Amino acid sequence: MTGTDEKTKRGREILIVEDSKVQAATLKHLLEENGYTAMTAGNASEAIDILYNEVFTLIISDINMPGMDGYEFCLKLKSNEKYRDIPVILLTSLSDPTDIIRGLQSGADNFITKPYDDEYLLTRIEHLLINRELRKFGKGGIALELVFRGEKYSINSDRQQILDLLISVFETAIDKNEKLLKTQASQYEMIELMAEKNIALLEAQEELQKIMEHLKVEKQKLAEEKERINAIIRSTADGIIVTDVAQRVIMMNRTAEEFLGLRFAEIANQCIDCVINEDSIKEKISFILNKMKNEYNFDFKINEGDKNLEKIIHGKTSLIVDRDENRLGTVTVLSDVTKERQIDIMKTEFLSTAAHELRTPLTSIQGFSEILLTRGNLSPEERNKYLAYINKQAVKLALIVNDLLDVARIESGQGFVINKKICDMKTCIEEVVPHFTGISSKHKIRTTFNDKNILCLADCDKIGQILKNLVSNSIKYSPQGGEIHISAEIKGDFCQISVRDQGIGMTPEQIEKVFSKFYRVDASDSAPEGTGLGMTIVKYLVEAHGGRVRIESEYGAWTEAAFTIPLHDIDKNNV
Amino acid sequence: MKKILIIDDQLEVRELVEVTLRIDEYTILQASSGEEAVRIAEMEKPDLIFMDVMMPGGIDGFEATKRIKNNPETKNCHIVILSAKGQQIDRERGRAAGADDYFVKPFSPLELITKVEEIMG
Repeated sequence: MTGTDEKTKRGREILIVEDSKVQAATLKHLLEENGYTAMTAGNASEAIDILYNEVFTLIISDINMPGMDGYEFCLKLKSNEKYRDIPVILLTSLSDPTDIIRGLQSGADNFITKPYDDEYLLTRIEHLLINRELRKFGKGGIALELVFRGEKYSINSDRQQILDLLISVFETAIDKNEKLLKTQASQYEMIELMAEKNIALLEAQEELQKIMEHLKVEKQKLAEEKERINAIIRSTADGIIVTDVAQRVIMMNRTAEEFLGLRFAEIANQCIDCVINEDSIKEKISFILNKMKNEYNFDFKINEGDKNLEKIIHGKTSLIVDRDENRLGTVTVLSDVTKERQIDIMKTEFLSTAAHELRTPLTSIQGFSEILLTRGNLSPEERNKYLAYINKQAVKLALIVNDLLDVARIESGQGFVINKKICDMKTCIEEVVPHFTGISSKHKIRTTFNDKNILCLADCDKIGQILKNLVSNSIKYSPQGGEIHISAEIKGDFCQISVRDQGIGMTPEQIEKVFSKFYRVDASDSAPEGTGLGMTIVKYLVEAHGGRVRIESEYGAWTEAAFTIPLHDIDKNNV
Repeated sequence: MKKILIIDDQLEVRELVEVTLRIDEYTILQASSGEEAVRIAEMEKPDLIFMDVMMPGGIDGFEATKRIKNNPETKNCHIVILSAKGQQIDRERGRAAGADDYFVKPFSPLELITKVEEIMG
C-alpha cells in the first residue's frame, strides 16, 4: 500500500456488522469498489472488540443479529464518549413505525431499508461523512421524551442526527411511495388490459350465447325430425322390430305388436329369446348377428288354425350397420302377405290348369295330324274324321286362348270394347241357343220369355258370350245331365236373364269365391275341365253393361246364375 | 292276344290311342272313367293300361291306378299314366299310386308305339 493510497483512504474506514456472511461480503465488496476500506464483524460484541483496536469513520449495522441487536449496539456506541461521533447506519426493513422510534432512541444516524439500492447507499454514506463535522456542534443535544402507542420512549439524539434520520425515513417513504405509484400504474394498465379482455370476453360470451341458441333450435328440429320418423315407423302398415347386437328388442311398432301379440312397453330391452315366440324371427336375427348372412326373407303363419284370423306374414331381417360398417343390430320388417300368397297359389294353380287345358286339345291335334302324315293306308272316311277332330280341338284351343286373353285384358285395365245397340234380349238369347245343341246329349235346353219385347241397350255378342259361359258351367256341373232352363223377364228397370241347372249345386263358401280369378269350384283331378276364368269374364261383361250377377244354389240339387241388363229407356232416349 | 285298356274321358283321345296301336296282335278296350277302369281291369285283366288322370266323377286316374295295383287279380297290369299334368309332383303322385310309366300329353303316336313294343316285347 503506497503513502498516497493511505492518505486518500484516510477517513474512509467502514465497519460492517452483519451476521449473514454472504450479505457482509457483498456489502464489503461494494464499499471497496467505491474507494472505502471495510471490515466485517459477525455480531455486535465482535464489533465492539474490533472498535477497541481500530479507528472507523462509519459503521453499518444490521438490526436482527444473534445476541445484541442493532439498536442496543448503536445505543451502546452512542453512550460511549470514545465512539459517539462515529455515524451509525442501521439496515432495517422499516416495516413498523416503532423501528423509527427505536432508531431515534438508539441514536442511529441513518436508516437504510433492505433490500437497498447500491447507489442510494453510497449517497447516504457520502452525505453522512460530509455532515459528520457539523454534527459535532450540537453535542449533548436535546433530551426528548415521547409516548408512542402507549409506550414511553426517551430520545437523546442531537438535532442533526434526528434530522438525518427523519429525512432518510422520509426519503425511504417517498421511494416506497414512488414504487407504489409505479406498481399502481402498472396495476391500472393491468386493469385496463383486463377491461379490454373483459369486453372481448363479453363479446365471446354473446357469440357463444348465439351459438347455444342456434344449437337449441337445431336440437329442437332434430327432436321433431326424430319424432316424425318415429311416428312414421309407429304407424306404418308393416311391422318393424329393431334389436341391438345383444339381441335385445329396442324398438317395435304397433303393427309388429299386433302380429306377435306383444306390448313393446312390456318387453323393451329384453332379449328376443325371452319375449318373441315366433321361432323363425329369433332364428334369423341370431343368424345375422352370428355373421352367417346379412339378410333373410322368410314366411311364417300367425293365428294358425283359426280360419278367420290366420295370416301369412313375410319377414325380412337385415343387418344394421353405421357409416363405418360397424354392426349396430338388426331390423326385421313384417308384412301381411296372406292375400299375395293366396293369389300366388291361385296363379300357380291357374298356370297348371291352363297348361292342362291347352294340352288336351293339343293332344288330338298333334296325335291325329301325325297319324294323317304317317299312315298311308287310311280310308277317306277316316281321314275326314281325323281332320274334323283336329279342327274341333283347334277351335276349342282358340276359345281357351281367347278366355286367357280376355282375362289378361281385364287385368291390365284395358277391358273390352262394348258396342251397345238397342236390341231385343229374346233375339239375343235365341241366337245363342243353337250353339248348345250337340254339345251334350245328356242335357236339354229350355227357354222361357215372360215378356214379348225386352229392349235393352246392349252388345248382343257379349250377351251371347255371357250365356255361353253360364250354360257351359251348367253342363260341366251337372254331369248326370238334366234340364238347363234359360229365362228372361223384366224386373223393374232391368231385364233379368237366368240360367238354371239340375246339377251338383254349390255350397255358400263356393258361391262366395266363384268370382275370384282362377277360382275353380273343385280343383281336384276328378273335377270338370275349365280355366276358372269364365265367371270373371261374365262378371266383367255384365258390369260393363251396368248390370249385376248373382248365383243361388242348393247343394246337390240345382244352381241358378242370373244377371241383369238395364232396359232401354225410350223416354230418356227421346229427350 | 294281348289286351290293352285305354282310359280317358275324351273320346278323341281314346280313338287316337286306339288308331295308334291298331295292330292285329292286340285287343283294344276302352273306358271313360275311373270306376269303369277298375271294373273292366278286374274283368278283363289287361296286359297294359293307358290311364288318364283328370276325369269327372269320384275316382281320378291316380286313385284308379292305386286300386288296380292293390287288387291281387290285377296288380300285374303294366300301367302307363297318360296325362296333361306334367309337373314333377304329378309324376311323383303317379309313381306313388303304383304306375309303371308316365307319358305327358300331347304325345307322339310313334313314341307311344315304341313304348308299347318295349313293354309287350
